[in-house]
Amino acid sequence: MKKRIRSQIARGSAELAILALLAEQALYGFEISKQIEERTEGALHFTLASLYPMLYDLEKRGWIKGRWEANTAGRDRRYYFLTAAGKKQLEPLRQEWSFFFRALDRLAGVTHA
Amino acid sequence: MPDWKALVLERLERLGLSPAQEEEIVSELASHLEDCYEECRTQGVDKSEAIERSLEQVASWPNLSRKIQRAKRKEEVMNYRTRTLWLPGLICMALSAGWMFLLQRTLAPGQGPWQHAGLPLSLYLLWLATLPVFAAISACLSKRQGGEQLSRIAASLFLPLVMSGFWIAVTIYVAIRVDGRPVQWANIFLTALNWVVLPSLALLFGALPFLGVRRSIAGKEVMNYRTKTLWLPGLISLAAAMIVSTISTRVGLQPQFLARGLSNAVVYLGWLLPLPFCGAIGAFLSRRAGGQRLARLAAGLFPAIAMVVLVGFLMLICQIVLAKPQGFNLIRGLFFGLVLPGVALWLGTIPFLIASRSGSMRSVSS
Repeated sequence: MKKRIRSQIARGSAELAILALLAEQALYGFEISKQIEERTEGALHFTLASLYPMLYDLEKRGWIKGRWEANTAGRDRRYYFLTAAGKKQLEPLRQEWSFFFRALDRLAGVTHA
Repeated sequence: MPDWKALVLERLERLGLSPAQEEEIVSELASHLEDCYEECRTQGVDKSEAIERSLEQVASWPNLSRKIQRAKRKEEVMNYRTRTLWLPGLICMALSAGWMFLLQRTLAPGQGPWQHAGLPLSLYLLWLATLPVFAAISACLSKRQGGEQLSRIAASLFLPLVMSGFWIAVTIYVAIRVDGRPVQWANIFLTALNWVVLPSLALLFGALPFLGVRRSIAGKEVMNYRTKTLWLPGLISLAAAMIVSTISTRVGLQPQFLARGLSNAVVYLGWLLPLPFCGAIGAFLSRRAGGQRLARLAAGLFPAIAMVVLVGFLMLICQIVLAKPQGFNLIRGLFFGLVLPGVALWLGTIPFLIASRSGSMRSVSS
C-alpha cells in the first residue's frame, strides 16, 4: 500500500536516500526524485521544492558534487556524484539508521509490521 | 513548450548569489520542471494541465528561494542587514567623506571657488557632483547582496541620514538653548540644504539605476530599458565630465599657470575640449544598449542637463536667499558654463545620432 511518510523520519532519511542512490550511479535531480519514489513505492516522495535545497545543502557540505553534462537525449543536466567525503559519510549513516530501526523493532515490533 | 527558465525567473526571488550561480540554479530548476512537463505529456495530459501540474511541484516560491539561499550560501561572516545596509552605507559614507577630505587637502583654500568662465564652481559643487558615483557603488553592493529596495536607498543615503540626525540635534539645541536669531535659522537652513537635501538628491540620483531593477541574471535583462539607455550612459558621461573637470582644475591651478594668469583658460579649455568625448561615451553606450535617438542625445548631454538642474537650483537659492542679482555674470556664466559645454557634448554625440543600427530598435524583453 502506497502511503507517504510525512514525519521527521522522512526528512531525516532523505539524506541517506540521496547518498545511497548516488553511491550507485551519478544522477540528475529529476532522476533522483523518480528513482526514490519508484524504489520506495511512493513512500518517499520528493518535489522540486524539497529536493533541490537538500541537494544544495549536501553539496555545500561536500558530500556530493554537481556537474553539468549532456544526458542521452543531448540535453544538459546537472549530474550529482558522491564525493569521497560523501562515501565516508554513507556507511555511518546506514549504521545509524539500522541501529535506529533495530531499536524501534525491539521496542514496538515495527520492522515487519 | 513553455519557456521554463522565464517561468522560474518570474517566480524565484533574488537569492543574493553571483549571477552565474543564480543562472545555474534557474537552469536546473527549469530543467526539472521541463522533465515533469514532458512526463505529464507522455501520460496524455494536455498542455495547460501539464504546466499546472509541473508548477505544483513548488507550493511556495518565496519559501523555496529562502531554502535555496540558506543551502547555497557559505558560512556568513556578516548577517543580511550588515551586508545589505551597514557595509554599503558605510562604504558610501567613507568614500564621500574621503573624497571631500582629499579635495580639501589637495586644493588650497585660496584657490577656490574657481572660476569656470564666470560660473562659481566650488569645491562643494565638485564634491556634490561626484556623489552619484558613490551612491551607485553603494546601491550596487547592496543589490548584489540581495538587498531590498529600501535597503539600497538607505545604504545610498547613509551620509545625509547621519547628517540629518546631527542637523536635527543642532536645530533642537538652537530652539531650546540659544536665542534663535534669523541669521542662525538661515544658517541651519543652509546647513540642511548643503549637507542633507542636496547630497540626498545627488545620491538618490546615482542610486536610481539600481533601485528599479528586477534582477541580475546572466543572459537576462539586467536593467530596464530606460536605465540601460539613459540613466547609466548618462551617469557615465557625467562621471567622465567630472573626472575631466577635476584633472583640468588640478592642472590649471599649478603655480606656473597661476603666475602667468592662465589658470582660468587652462582649467576651462582643459575641461571643454575633452567634453565631446564624454558626450560620445554617453551616446555610444546608449546606442549599444538599443537606445532611441532621443535617449542617445539625452545620455550624451547628461552632464549639461545635470548642470542646468543643479546650477539653476543654486542660482534660485542665490537670488532668493542671498538676494544678489547676477545680471551680466549670470548670462556669461550660462553661456560658458552651459551653452558651450552643451554644444561640445552634442558634437560628441553626433556620430552616434546619425549612425543608425538595427540594434537601435527598442528591445522588448520576454
